[in-house]
Amino acid sequence: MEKVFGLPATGLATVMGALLLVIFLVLVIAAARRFILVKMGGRNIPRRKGQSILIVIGLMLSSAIIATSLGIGDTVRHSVRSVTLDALGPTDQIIKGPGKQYLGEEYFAYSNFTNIENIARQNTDIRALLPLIEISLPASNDEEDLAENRVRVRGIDGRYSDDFDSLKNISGEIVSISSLQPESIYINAKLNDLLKIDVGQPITVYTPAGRSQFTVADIVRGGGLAGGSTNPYMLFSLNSLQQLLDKEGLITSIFVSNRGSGEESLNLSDDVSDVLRSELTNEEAALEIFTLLQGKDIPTRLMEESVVIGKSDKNMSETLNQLAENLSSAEFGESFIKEINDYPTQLAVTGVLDKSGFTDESREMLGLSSSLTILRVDQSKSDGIKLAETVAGGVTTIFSIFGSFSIMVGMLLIFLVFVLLAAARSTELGMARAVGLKRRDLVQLFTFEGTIYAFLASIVGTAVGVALSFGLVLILQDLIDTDDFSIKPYYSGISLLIAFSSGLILTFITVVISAYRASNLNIVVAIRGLKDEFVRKPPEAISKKIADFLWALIFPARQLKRIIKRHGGRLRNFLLLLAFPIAWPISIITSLFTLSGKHSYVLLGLLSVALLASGILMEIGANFFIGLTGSVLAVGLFIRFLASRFLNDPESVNQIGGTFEGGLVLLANSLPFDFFEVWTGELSEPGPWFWPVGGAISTAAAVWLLMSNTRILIALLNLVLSRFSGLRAVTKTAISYPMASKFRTGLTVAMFALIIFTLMIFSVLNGIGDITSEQPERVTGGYDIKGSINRDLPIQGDIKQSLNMSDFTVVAGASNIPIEVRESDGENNTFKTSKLVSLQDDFFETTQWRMAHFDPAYGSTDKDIWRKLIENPNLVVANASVIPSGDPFGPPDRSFKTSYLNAGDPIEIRAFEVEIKERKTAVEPSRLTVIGIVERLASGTGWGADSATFYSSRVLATELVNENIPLDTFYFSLRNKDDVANYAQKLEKIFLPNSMDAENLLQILEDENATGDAFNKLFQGFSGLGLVVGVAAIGVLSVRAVVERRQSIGVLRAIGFRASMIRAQFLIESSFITILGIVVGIFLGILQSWLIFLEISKELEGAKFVVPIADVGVLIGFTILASILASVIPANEASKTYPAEALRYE
Amino acid sequence: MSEIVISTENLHKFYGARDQKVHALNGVDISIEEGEVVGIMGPSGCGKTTLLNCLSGLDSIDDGNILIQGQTLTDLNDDQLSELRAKKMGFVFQTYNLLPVLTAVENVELPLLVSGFSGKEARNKALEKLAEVELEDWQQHLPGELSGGQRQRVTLARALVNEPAIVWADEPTGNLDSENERLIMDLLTHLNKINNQTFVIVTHSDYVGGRTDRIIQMKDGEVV
Repeated sequence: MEKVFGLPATGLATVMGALLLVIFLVLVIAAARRFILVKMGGRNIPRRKGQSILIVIGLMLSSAIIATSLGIGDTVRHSVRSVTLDALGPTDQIIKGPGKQYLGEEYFAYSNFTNIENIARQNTDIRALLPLIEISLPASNDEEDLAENRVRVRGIDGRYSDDFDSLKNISGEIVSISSLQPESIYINAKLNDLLKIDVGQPITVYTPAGRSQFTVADIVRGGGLAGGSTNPYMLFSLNSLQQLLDKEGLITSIFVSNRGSGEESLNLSDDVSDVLRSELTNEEAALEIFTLLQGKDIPTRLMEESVVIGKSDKNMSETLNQLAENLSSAEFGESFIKEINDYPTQLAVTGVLDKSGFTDESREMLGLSSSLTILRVDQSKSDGIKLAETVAGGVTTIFSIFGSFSIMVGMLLIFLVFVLLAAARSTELGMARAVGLKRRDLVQLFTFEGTIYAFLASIVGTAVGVALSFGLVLILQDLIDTDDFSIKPYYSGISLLIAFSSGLILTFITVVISAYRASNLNIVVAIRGLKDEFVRKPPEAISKKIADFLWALIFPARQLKRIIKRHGGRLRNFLLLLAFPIAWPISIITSLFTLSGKHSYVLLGLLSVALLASGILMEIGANFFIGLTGSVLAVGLFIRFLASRFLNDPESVNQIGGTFEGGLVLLANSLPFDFFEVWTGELSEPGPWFWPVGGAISTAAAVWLLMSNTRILIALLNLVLSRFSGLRAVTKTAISYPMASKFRTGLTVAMFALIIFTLMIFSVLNGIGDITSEQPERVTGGYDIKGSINRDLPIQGDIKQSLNMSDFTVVAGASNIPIEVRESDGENNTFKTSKLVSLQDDFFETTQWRMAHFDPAYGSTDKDIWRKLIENPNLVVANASVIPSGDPFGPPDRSFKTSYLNAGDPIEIRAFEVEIKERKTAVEPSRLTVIGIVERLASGTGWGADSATFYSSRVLATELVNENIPLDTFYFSLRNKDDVANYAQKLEKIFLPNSMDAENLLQILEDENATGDAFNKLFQGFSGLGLVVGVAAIGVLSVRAVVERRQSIGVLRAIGFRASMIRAQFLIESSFITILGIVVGIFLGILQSWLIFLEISKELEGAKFVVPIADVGVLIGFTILASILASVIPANEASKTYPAEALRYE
Repeated sequence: MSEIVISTENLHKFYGARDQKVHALNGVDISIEEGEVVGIMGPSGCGKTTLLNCLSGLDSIDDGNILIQGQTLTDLNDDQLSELRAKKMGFVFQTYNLLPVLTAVENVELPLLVSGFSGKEARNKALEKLAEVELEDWQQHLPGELSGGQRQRVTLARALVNEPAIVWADEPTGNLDSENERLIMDLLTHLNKINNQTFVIVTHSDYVGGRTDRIIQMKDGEVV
């Protein structure tokens, strides 16, 4: 991929590789200096093989998840690229008509090609040109009674085709278009497969003039000139096709092939396109526009608009900025021509003129724009490649976000493992310190050990990730493989390097932090096995704190001084100096917190309020929410401080402090998303990355709250469990032990909670989507079949005359017309692209599409609103895409948006006025009233993300474009609902000459739902990978507990615990921790799902919030079972311990 | 004459692999009567703790026989031994061996819960026993918050709470100063008199030995 997580892949891989090298070198140098530390750290790994394996399994997850995400991204990119390259072959750009025609294929004169040929001769970057007609027509094999309603047809000029690309038949022999006889054609292998037509056999082709028969001269291999191998193609000689279509002297496209192949030709695409665009633009019109836009302070207005739209549409903002610069510096050239040629740019510029009140200039601009473009240049190949990159980047991001919870869990495990390792070896480490090892030696010791784990884990993790990505791709293959698109598994070397190094670096950083914490031990405490509170550090003098703060202000100078004076590790100081852009601010903030001491809440409060205020002032949602979280945490800390002043019992202070800190943070993160909107106004969406961050904050807060109240929890549990006489003694110890080790239990609970939280959200949201299964008519409108035809092959006369109407209850037709729309009086008074769907009255009488919003002045039911469109042709209904909504994953939607409505507004609205006109014209727009907005479900099958669309009566369409627009889409309702699939086929056959594609709407909806469910399960499975880590954590904890509590096991056996009771105690303990995690996860999952549901239900009437009990049950059962299995071996070991032996253990 | 509650015949116990066997108990024959306070004394490594572990069923024997209240220990399986310990025995260890995560009262009530007492009953009895060792005000404290003497008193309460026939004590005052040693022994002998329980105490301390009814002296795994 070119970009990973928004960063250039090659650059990222280089930086990662370099970082890995630096880490490696630092470790090698350190190891060479003190090899004894490597030995001390490394020897522990083979000693406890089981524990080491568990640790590696847990640690490998980061690498595995990153590797999986990148692998899936690579595969998607490779697959989309393959389709583009296969279909285009050597074609880099396609020259097309000026785009003025709103219906059907746009033809232009062959003479244009001669001009372009002259241009190409002077440009060495252009290798070859090919004039052709490219359209879609139906074809059939009458002998076999097989038909294909949409076959891509190319009429190629044989004089140029051999130079452009070689055509080969399926035997591998080269064939030429120039050798085609007038009545013969080539077909590709795909069409041969579909129609079962062989060489020499007749094929029927349907055109506006009727049926014509041709002979198949040969079957060519797919790809390049013969079209993509996944679609059916027919190849004609240009003359034959021109005659057949009655388009003599006309073509639809000119293929342009650049010099070189592969990346070389692709890299030339921008330059070649610029030259061609410049040549294919009416320079006089462009110059007139340039002169027009230079006047009346327009460049400044363009610059201002560029700033305004910068937040929502970065590309357009840059374009307007570029135009403004060209105009200001009087630079009329290729750059200006290129930008102004773009249709959305023309609309944006006209919009700026309208907004500024320059009405005459706006009208003039519209007039000039329509004559600006002679021919358009599409950068088909580079656009296709860019699409591949965008889609792959999106897929990688989605998988990374879903996987980020598991990555966090993996990092928590590393931390937990080191906490346990440090505890287990405290005596040994204390002794080591006593005999002269420095603290940094302990850090190194742990780092060496951790790096060995991290290295092993990264190798295993990357391998597992690659395997997993191929496994998931196989599932994806079943889900989205179509005739047009097939998934091809692929993994790039760069991705492999990024996955391995990022996993290793992440693990390494966590290892170093954990090692630093583990090394922070008091020698006496460690040797004697005392608790830390026995040896408290004396508080630092205020003068030292101030000095530290002042030094932090001049951080680089401090580091230099330390290096020169050899204060502390030189390498460490040097690395910190190198990392000063990050280390400097951290150093200042840390020293400030140290200086604040017990009153840190003041500093935290001030910083948080500043962040919160910046969020409100700059309308940045992320700043606001993080500031809010910090502010309430500061309040919690203040309450802790107050409690410490009035209470002597530290346990009670911790309970009160923790309850407020965790509780308030949880509360702040559990409020509806628009809760603060009344005060803050609308803030920008934080972006997809905020989801895992918010989830982690909520989980941490919930676990903090829980672990601060263990006293209450133990009392409650004892109350409940004391009713079971056989379990009383066992449960008492099983609960008390984990509750006493709050840190490690809290970490493990957090691990389970994070994963269960994600899985719960998936389960609940999946349930909300079921509405389309229960009420499919809200998607299909109640129709059974939707048939769309080729606009160049319209149905002559009334469609009903060709049908046996007794089979149907409804047949309603529609035309789709591209239009431009703006609000008449609202803020959005710039023309934007949109679509007008002009429908026959039968549709309005019968549709079951529902309104998300409507003006009650026009009726009280959906039916009333639809019927109003029949009565008054100046009324329209819009689809839900006119309501602004921020989609974090898709490209910016430049189609029309209304300023009158926002997502979540009430159902009843006031009608508003819009102006509509035919695209790319300067005609006077028609003023229309929008009386309702159809709900988003009705955008078609599934959760369609259509651009803005308006529904109107036929009268309006005819008035608007002054023509009788042919119908291109038909909705059918059958009397016999059992025969839909057959009837769809029947319709395709009847209307084969019109190229009808008939869709069984219910079937498509079911298929989409099934695919959606399968995707959901796939993501759920992927997110659930973190459970492996949680289970590994339980295993590690159990192993550790058995070792640590050996003597206690002896005591319990002495006072009468049977071996089975000891086993039960450990198993209950694991299950108890797991259940705590599950409970927290389910609680947070339901809470967050409820918040998401509140947002969705605003736009989706009738949406139900259902907690899928069965799914949750399976989830709970599986997780507990896995945890029990992970602790069976250590629990058995504990139960088999001989009492006298256990009592002797120290 | 009182009833014999503990007796052994030709008791043998070995440790280690075959080529390096240590004869920890070598033909030990003892008998202890009901209500007796017996001290087992001898130099380090003579087999005192091993004998105590074997008598209480915490450790197995290689040869010979042990009878506890007329019941042969070797006839009992692991679960039956556990039940015997739960209902008829109490333990006091040198290092207290209280469960650090349970409060004083929870530690004391644990043997009762194992024996099947209800939570309420167990709590009441545990509180009574804590009162007997004068720790009723410390019932909700964790062992880490108690002094050595207090911890040993909790251990004593735990050992006696299920009113066992026999209390095994392995160096019960080994970690205490002389004042606390005296207090513990006062308490122990007082409770012995009230309840007529049998106490078997392994000790190095002459003072403790002096407070017992009888001393079994051991050397090199044999009773001397």
